[in-house]
Amino acid sequence: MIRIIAQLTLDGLAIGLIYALLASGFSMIMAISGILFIAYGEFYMLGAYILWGLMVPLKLPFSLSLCITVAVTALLGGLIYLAVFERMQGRKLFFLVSILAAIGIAMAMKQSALLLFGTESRGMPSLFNRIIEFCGLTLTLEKAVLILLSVATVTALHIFLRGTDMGRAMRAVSFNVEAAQLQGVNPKRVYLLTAMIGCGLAGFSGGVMAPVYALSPEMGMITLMILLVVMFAGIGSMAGALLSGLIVGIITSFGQYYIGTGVAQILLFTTIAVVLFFRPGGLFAETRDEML
Amino acid sequence: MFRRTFVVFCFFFFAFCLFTSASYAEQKTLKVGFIANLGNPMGRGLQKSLEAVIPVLNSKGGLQVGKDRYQVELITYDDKGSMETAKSAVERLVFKDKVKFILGDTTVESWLPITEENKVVAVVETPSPTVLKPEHNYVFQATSLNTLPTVVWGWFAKNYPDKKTVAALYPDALHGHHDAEQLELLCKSFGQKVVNITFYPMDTTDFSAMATKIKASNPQVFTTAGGGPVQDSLTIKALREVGWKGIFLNYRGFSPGQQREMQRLQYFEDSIFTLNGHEWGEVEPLRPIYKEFIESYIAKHGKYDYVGAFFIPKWYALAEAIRKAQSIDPEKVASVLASGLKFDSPFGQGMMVSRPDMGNQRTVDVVFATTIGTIKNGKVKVVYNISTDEAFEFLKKSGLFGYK
Repeated sequence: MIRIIAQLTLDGLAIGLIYALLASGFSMIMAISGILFIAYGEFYMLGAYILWGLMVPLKLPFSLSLCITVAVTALLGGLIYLAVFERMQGRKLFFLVSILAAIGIAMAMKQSALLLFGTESRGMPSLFNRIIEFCGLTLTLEKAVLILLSVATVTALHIFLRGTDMGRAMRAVSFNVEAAQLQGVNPKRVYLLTAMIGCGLAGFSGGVMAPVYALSPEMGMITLMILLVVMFAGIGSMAGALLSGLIVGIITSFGQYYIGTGVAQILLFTTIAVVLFFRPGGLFAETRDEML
Repeated sequence: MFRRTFVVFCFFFFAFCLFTSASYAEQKTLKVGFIANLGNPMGRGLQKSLEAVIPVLNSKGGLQVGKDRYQVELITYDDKGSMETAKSAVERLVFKDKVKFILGDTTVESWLPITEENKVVAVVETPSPTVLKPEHNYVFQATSLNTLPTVVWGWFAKNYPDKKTVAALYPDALHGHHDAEQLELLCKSFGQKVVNITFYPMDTTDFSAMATKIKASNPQVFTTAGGGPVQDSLTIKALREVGWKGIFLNYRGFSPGQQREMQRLQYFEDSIFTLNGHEWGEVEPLRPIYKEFIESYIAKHGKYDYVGAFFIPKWYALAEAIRKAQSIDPEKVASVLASGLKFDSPFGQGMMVSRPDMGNQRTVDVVFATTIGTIKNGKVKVVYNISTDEAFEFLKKSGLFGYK
């Protein structure tokens, strides 16, 4: 029994870290730019397909492919921000209009993927052909690498936001953009960088997931799960996003084992609804102003 | 001089007209309707297969029907997987295009009354028992959907008598639950015990927890179907990753070539599967009809995408029935199909069989000769070739088809 619980926790950790990464990027865009970026999941999908395209037909190594994937998704995120969102930033009804724009972008990206790659799922050969066994538990080297890379990325993001000038500028803009401007922060540059980092994170997540699981143009639907994780955590709480992602991943894993996937999802949504009932701003909401 | 030249010219001109008009008079056309969900990989694969083989047949003179030869004209409609769209398509085929033969799909129940009333022969693929009932005279099920699982399980139970416990993973969809029910019946018939059946949402990619659950039930055999090759590969990968070491039995069809693109084949080491239609690139020599099919497919489309052979037997059954009937009269063709027709196809040799369990003594379903394969050291090996007669014996032994 203990072994099964430990195995399920380990299994949930891998997918939970991906949720955490995605939630961090999504939360960051939301908190700093004020954009509910519904198309975020499509960047996750795009990252997976770019990595597939680099590794399978072009046979590039994984590390180079992942770097290119992150660069491309970050660049594309920046371009989309400049082309679509920058002109409406700060205007009346920006939040609502940005949602509509994001939906349009999501639909365009998904349809493009369907046209390019078809409707069927595809897989990739495993990167590493090894299973690590310890204390009766098993973990593939692939998933271990995924966990390590995800932890490293979250740590790097945390250090960036807390320990660098630009990170502090981004946090300042998220609190009060006028005050930040008075301190010499260029909000336009901050918004652009936020879009690039956020979309790069999504592309990274898709890239590390692609060899472990499968690719399909439907991958973008993960946005719904990310929204849940972010609401669960509280917008703007990076630590909350990390913990919430892990909690969601582990609940899903246990739910699949004990009660079946469908019922597990109901359990998950119910748990989140109960938490939000008592803490409407999210489990880790930082200030009263963030509570709805 | 000029007059003579003119007369000679006129003579040759009229002779030419007579010759070509005579040839035109002998050129006969047989229209065959084809409906499928062309947005689905299987439907699209079948379309590509037909587009490959029919022009080759036509280039060799066409379909032999008695003393005549017919150029086959395939009229295709996309039913989008919708019953309503399929019904409209069949109405067009029957009333506007005036076809007497249709290659159909799982939407058949929506348009069966039209084809029955108008005496149009329909050769379809569907697990639905409706089409097999005796009140229908012109519809036939000519793919392996209904019988292949029984043949494979019967062979496996006979050759692996010590493997008694079975676990399975199926999509949480209509066809997944149908497969689960079928598995329960098969295991009961052949003396095995189902220890775990788990259902998953179609978009699942993380099977870790389910694999842990299946391993905990300690099955000797694991099977899955209906999720597609990607899901199949992810499930077995997840099982191997949690340390399960039993036999993976695939009774629907396994494509080593397709799996090799997605997964290391070592996960499938010592698996047992049907290789029908997937021998290309894996075993030699290929059956001539299959080799010809692959060559036509590649010549037409540039590469083979592994799904083309699965439903193509419908066409081969129909073509052989027309040849044997020596007529394009639907009554005669239906009679041949209903009388135990044997035919060859890229998927395998087929034999039409009756369905006494449906009260139908006419041969309205089909059993195929089946190639059983395994993976040894990353390479495909043929374990056994089950003949149509042997396959039919497994059907009888199962007790599921009403044979005495």
